[in-house]
Formats: sequence, structure tokens, C-alpha cells
Amino acid sequence: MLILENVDAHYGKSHVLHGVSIEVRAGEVVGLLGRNGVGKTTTLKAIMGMARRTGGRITFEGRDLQGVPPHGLAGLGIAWVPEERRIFRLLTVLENLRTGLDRPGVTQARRDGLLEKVYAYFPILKERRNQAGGTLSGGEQQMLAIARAMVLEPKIILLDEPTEGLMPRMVAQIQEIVHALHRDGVAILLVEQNVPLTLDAAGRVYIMEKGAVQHHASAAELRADQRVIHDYLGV
Amino acid sequence: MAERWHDEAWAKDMWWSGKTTRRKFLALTSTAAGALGATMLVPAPWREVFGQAKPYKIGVLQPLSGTGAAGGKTALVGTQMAVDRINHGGGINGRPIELVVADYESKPDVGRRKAEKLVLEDKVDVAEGGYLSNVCLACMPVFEENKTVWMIGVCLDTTITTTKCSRYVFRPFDYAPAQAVGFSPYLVSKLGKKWHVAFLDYAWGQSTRDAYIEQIKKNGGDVVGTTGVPLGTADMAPFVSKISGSFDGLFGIFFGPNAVSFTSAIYDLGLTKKYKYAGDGAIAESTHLPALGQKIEGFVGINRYIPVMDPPLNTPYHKKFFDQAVVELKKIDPSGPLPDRYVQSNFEAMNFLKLGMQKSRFRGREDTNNLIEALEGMEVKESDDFPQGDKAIRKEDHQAFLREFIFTIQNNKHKLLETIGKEKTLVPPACKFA
Amino acid sequence: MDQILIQTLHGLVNGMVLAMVASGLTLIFGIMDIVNFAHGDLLMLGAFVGASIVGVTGNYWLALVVAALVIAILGALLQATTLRPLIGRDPLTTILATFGVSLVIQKYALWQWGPSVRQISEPVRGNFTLFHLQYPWYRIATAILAGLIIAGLWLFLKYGKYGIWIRATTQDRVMAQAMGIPVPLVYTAVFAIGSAMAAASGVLFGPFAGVTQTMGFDFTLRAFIVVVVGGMGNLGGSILASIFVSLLESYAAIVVSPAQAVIVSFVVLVLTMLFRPTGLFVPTPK
Repeated sequence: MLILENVDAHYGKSHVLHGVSIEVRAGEVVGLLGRNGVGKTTTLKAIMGMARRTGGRITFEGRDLQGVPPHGLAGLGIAWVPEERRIFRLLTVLENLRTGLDRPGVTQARRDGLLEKVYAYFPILKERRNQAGGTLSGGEQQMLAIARAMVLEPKIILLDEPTEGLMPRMVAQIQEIVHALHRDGVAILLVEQNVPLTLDAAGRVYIMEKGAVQHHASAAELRADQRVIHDYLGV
Repeated sequence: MAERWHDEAWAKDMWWSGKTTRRKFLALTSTAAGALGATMLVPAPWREVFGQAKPYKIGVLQPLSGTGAAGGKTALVGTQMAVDRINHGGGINGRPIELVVADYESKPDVGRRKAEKLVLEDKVDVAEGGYLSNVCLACMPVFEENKTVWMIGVCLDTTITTTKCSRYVFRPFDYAPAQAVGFSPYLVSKLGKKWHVAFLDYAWGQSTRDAYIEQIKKNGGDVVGTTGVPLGTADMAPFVSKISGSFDGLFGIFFGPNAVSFTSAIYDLGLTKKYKYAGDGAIAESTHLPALGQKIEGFVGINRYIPVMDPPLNTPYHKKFFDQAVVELKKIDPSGPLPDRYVQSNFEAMNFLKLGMQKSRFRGREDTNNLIEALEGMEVKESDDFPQGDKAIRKEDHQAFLREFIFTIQNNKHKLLETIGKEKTLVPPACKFA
Repeated sequence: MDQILIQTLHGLVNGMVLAMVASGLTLIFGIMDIVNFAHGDLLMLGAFVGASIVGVTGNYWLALVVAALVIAILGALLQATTLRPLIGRDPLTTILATFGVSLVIQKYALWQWGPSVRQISEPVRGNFTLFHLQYPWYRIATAILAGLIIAGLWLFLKYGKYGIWIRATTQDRVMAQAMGIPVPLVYTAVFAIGSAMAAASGVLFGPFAGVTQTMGFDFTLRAFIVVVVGGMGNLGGSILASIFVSLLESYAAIVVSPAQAVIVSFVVLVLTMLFRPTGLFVPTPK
């Protein structure tokens, strides 16, 4: 469904991605592991059209994303949960969700259904729906970021380090959500530093180093043989 | 050769790279606007008539953009009417006039620069124009340094022909002290003894205020208060609300859009019902009357020119000027205003230059001294050249004296109340040429 | 005492009109980081369009609506043709572009309507006695109307679907795009709304002092001051600052000469820049 072929990307003059090739099939959870600064986030940004792509091809359901404007990706079914969460801080929780709900062609009934669904996943958001996004705790903001992506009814979610800096209780909750999304048939490209979580949630895993994919294996293989993980991630 | 024009490389450049085109468009638009504002050489369609005769180059300074743009544009109509008439009538000394118009953007520093450009680069023979007093004062030294005659068309600041006077600068129309001398007896005897003076707080407004305070007192009246309003204040209501107390009349010294602002504010706040409203004629120029409507009814002012055909202005000279000015003004203003003093004084300023250049057999800037001598003390009669009436340029300060009209506004029209002969406006000279 | 009441009224009336002008300006700045030097000229153009419509139909309210619509369309075209291509470039280029647009509009107005001052007659006649003055009801009506229009804008931004889009884009344009909000369209729409606000202010202010080519200048300057004082891009701050600065100027007119009173707003500007650079009504981040 989502295919990156030999993608090169630049930040200003520095060459960040060197021929990255990744594939995510429909309904599949794919992990992307690697140390800090190896280009995982940039890979996601390249998909979102936010990093300057200088080579290669990115296609989604066979469609080249080159000509799609940044605001057109949500409509194709690609949602992004950025590492910094990027909650609209002055908008309330409900308004944050409305940025995704108020798109053309969504009936009132479907909106209510979607809202109910995310509130069921994250009851705390319902409780805080009239509170400004900026006043939420880190964990709550992460939930809101995921919920905001969910209301777009995406085919794939690009999930960037969702557990970073969260308390263990929250991490477990995020893990549950990932499973739930998977059950719903949403594909996920999960960028993480948390190895156990990734190996638990993902079917396949790509390991990146220095802006390139160095290793690719199924999660089961990696679980069985953790040496590779040690080699690349030093854990 | 490509089959279709837009297959050409240049066409692709223009049409298919959308962004560049728009940027180019913007750049072109602003350049064009700038060029129009800077200098326009008025081509002489009558060139052929004059054969090989070299045209006189006359520089004209006017504000064609910025705060003074509206007035500058009106003033330019007068200049151009005079030049067209002169060129159609065989020019000056057999030579046509070519105008070099410089827009000083209503700013003194730009004015100085444009004046220098006219004198040094365009090498004009003489200059005319000027509208905002602060710009006139900034430009005068340029003409003095470069020994070029400047016939001012509008600037009214008193000091132009008193403390800051220049041998190279002439003012062929009235100034505030003369108007104050002519108007104050009427103000005190017919309208009231006690006055409050409200004025535009810059060079012209201040010098005019001083002239009226002096003359009102001299005639047995009194000025009990003054209010200065800064140039360009959109809503003057907060500033005029302070005007209160017991006095008979409110005397206003404003011009242009500020005059409309001021009049609206005092009318809206009921001050014109409580006090008589009089002031400089610039408040009630014909370009303001439609906007002011009933707010200006009953205003009494003094002006060197009002667009009426009542005696003594019912002359064939004035009718000719008036009719043509109406036609020319309609071209720049679809609402078709009647001529005002800015059209009149620029028209006559150009005619003074013509007479001076004829009398001195002026060839070029080398004859500037002769031209000055010809203009000094020049007396002219009411005629096609001078439809406003007789006038004389005084030798001592290059200030002209002319008749003045006291008028009121009735049914949104000027109505002549009294004509003040030029001998009743005399003010002693107060100028020492360097 | 009389003077204080009178000047309070003047300050509120002028403050509301200024708030309308400034709200358009701050909206545009907040979302696009564009300092729109042509804002006052759009106000002037709106006033001329309004004056023309009042002249033909005699209907003030129609003029108010049509002028706002016409200038909104013009603003949208202006944004799409001259400013959109400059997005992401040096802010100086947009400043120069809007400055150029301002000159073009002024020249156009002079060419189209000529030097005569135009009139918009007030839709509300009559006045009431206020100490030594007669106070026109129209000024009161203007303040109320301006307040209603600002409240309308605020409600739209607060609850409207597109209002939420606008606020989201203002806060994080990249994330807004990722959420599928058509940001380029939002930019154009905001420029149109800002232009309409300017035009409506022009028609509202028209009866105060006539319509001239230069009427926008004073507003651009004062609106810039209050936008900075209120915190760049902060709508509520700009509105409060408009009223605050106008009141201050009005009160100053009681004790000092008008020429000194208008300096008050500059003093407030300088003090704000020095001590609260993010705006008078926004806490300075530590």
C-alpha cells in the first residue's frame, strides 16, 4: 500500500536519507527502529511531503505522492502523529478533533460516531473536551494526537515515537491502542525506540542506521535472535 | 518559427511559469506606478508648428501621491491649462513650453531631491508649482543656490515671502497676513468680537493663526483660545470637544481633507449651532462641498478665488477660464467639481512667468537676473491671463497683492458677500534678500 | 468631569472602529506572518465603493455589505496573485509587495474618483445633548455596529468550521495541512475576511470625516501600533489595545495639546516593545 523506493532526502544542504526503501501493506503494523538521528522521523516527514525529497519514489496505493499537496494526504488516508504531538494548543480538545472531523463529505451521524469511538478509546478526552489542548498532560496530549489522527479514518497512521517520555501506565495504554487499531485494519508505520513494544506490536521491522535501512526482518525472527538488535541499537 | 506564438520560448517564460509571471506583473505594476509618479515629460503635439524653435523647459513640483495628492492633481490642471493656452497662442518669444512634472510624494526630503533633479539633471529654465508649505520651504534653498526662478503656485506659509524670502522665489497670489488684514474688520464688525481659532498644526496653520490673532485684536476683537490639530488626524472629534466657553465665533484654518474632517467634527458635535463658523476659504473649496453637504451651510470665509459669476467676477475673462477649467477638471474627477483657487493661482503663476520671460527676452537660465528684474514690481490687469483680477508683485518681498472675496455657503454653493480691494489687503514688507 | 465623560465616549467610539481595522490586520498577520501595508488602502477603497453605492442607491446598509464583499473579492485576488507566490520568501519581499499594492491602490483611487472628497451620509440621524455638546447618535451606532461585527467575527472563529480551520492554521500550519485543512485556501479566505473588515470599517467611518484617498494612512499607522501593543496576531489583544490606546489618546487630549496627545500611542508602543515585547495583554514568556 505504502511503498518507499530508494528515497533520498535533504535538510537544507545535509543529506539525511540515503536510498530508503520501505513497504507497508494494508492493515499491517510495521516497526521502524534505530538510534536517535538516523533518519526515522525524516522518513515519515518525507512521506508527509515535509522533508525535501531529492530522489526515489513514494507511492500510496499505486499513486505517486510527488504531485499531492501536503493537505491532500489526509484525504488519501494517510494520518500523521508527530513526535512532538503538535497539539493545537489554544484549541480545545474537541476543536482539535474537529480539525479532522470537519472535512467535506462527513455526515453529522458519522461525525458523532467517530467522536464516540475515540471517546470510548480515550475517556479522559471526553472529560476534558472543553479544555485547551495546551493544558493537557503529556500522556493526554499523546492520546489526543492519536485520536485526532483516528477521526480522519485513515488507512495508515504514521506513528512517531508515541511512548517517548511517558509513564509506564501510559505506555501500556498506547500499546493497547496500537493493537486495537491493528484489529480495526488500520496499517501503522511505527517509529520507536522502545524495542519490546515494537516487537510486540509490529509484524515486520526495519532497522535504520545513518539514513539508510540496514536490516529488515519479521518481528518473530528478531524476538528469537536479539543479536541484531544489540548490534544496531546497542541495547 | 514556431507555429503558435505561445510555443515560443519567450511566451513560455511569460505564461507557463505562473509564479514568475505574477511576480513580474507586480514588479511591472509598481515600476509603472513609480515612473508615472516620478517624471513625465509632456510631449508637445504642437512641435511642428514651432519648427526648430527650442522649447523652454519648465519644471513643475507637485505632490501627485501621498497626503497632498488630491490637491496637487487639481493644481496641475491650472498649470497645464495655462501652458496649453500659451503653446496654442504661439508660445513665449516664439518658443513652446515643455513641462517637466516632478511628483514630490508630499514629503519635504523628496521635494528637495526632486527640485535638485529638475535644476541639475533636467536643466529646467524656470520652475513653477509647489503645494504643501513645508515642501516649498524645503525646496527654496535649491532654487536659490542654483539661481533659478521659482514661481510658486499654491504654498501659503507666510515666511516664504517674509523671514525666509528668496530673491529667486515669487508668490503671485495672496498670503495669510493680507487675508487677515482684509477679513478681520468684517469678522469683528459683522460676526462677533470674541473668537476661538482652530488651526492645522504645521507651518501654514501656525503662521496664519498668528496673522489672524494680530488683526482681530487690532480691529477691536479678541481671540480667547486656540486649538491646534495635527496634520492627518482622521477623527478630530476628541480634539474639538474641548472647545467650549463663551465666545462668538469659531475661526478655522484648515485645507484639503483636514478641512472636511474638522467641519464634520464641529458640526456633528453641535458647535456650529452654538458658534458662528468662519475661516480660511480653503475650508470650503469646491472639491469639499459635496462631501460636507449641510454641514458647511452658513460658513463665512475669505478667498482669492471663488467659482461664481456674480459681479465683479462676471467678466468674459473669468467666464472663459471658468468654462475651460470645468471641462479640464471633469477629466480628472468624474464628479465634475468647479474650479478652485489652486487651479486659478497655478494658471496665473504660469502667465506671470510668460509675461516676465517676454519682457526680459529670456533665453535661458543665464538670463535669470533679467527675469527677476522684469517680474519685480510687475503690475497686471484683469484679463484672459489673469481672470481673478488686477494684481501686482511687490519688489521688496516678491509677494503679490490682489483682491479678496468674502463669501458664505448657501445651498451648498459659494455666495459672494463682499469684495475687498487689493489696496485694503496691504501688509508692510518684512523681507531681506540674501 | 464633563470632559472625562465626553472623552470616554470618543475613546470608545474610535476604539471600536480602530479595533475593526486592527482585527483584520492582526488576523492576516497571525496566520500568514504578512505585514499588510495596504490594509488602510483597502479601507479607503471600501469607503469609496461604499460612497459610490450610497450615491447611486441611497442605501447605506446595502453599501456596507456590498463594499465589504467587493473588497473581500479584491483581497482574495490580491492574495492569490501577488502574495501567494511570495510565501516562504524573505518577509521583506512581502512587505515591499504590500507597500507596492498600497501605492497602486492610492493612485487608482485618485485616477478613478478624482480629488473631490466623497460623502457617505449617516444612516442614523439625530443627536442628544451631552454637556456643552450635541452628540450624534450615529457615532454611538457606529461603535455598537463595530462591536457587533467584531463579535460576529469572533463567533465565527470560535465556533464556525472554517473558524476552527483558521485558528488551527494560525497555530501550526504544518499540522493543519497534515489534518487535511487546505491551508492555501485558508490563507486566501483570511485575506478576504481581513479586507472585508477593512472595507466595512471604511464605510462605517466614512460619515465621520468624508472619504478621501488618504484616509487609510492614519488608520494603517494606528492599527499597526495597536496590533503590536496587543501582541502580533492576537485578536483579543488587538481589540483591547485599540480601545486602550484610543481612550488614552482621548484622555490625553484633555490635558495636553492635540499634537502631544497623538504621541501618546507612540509612547505606549515604545514602552510595550521595551517591557512586554509579546504584547500588553499577553504574559511575556520566561
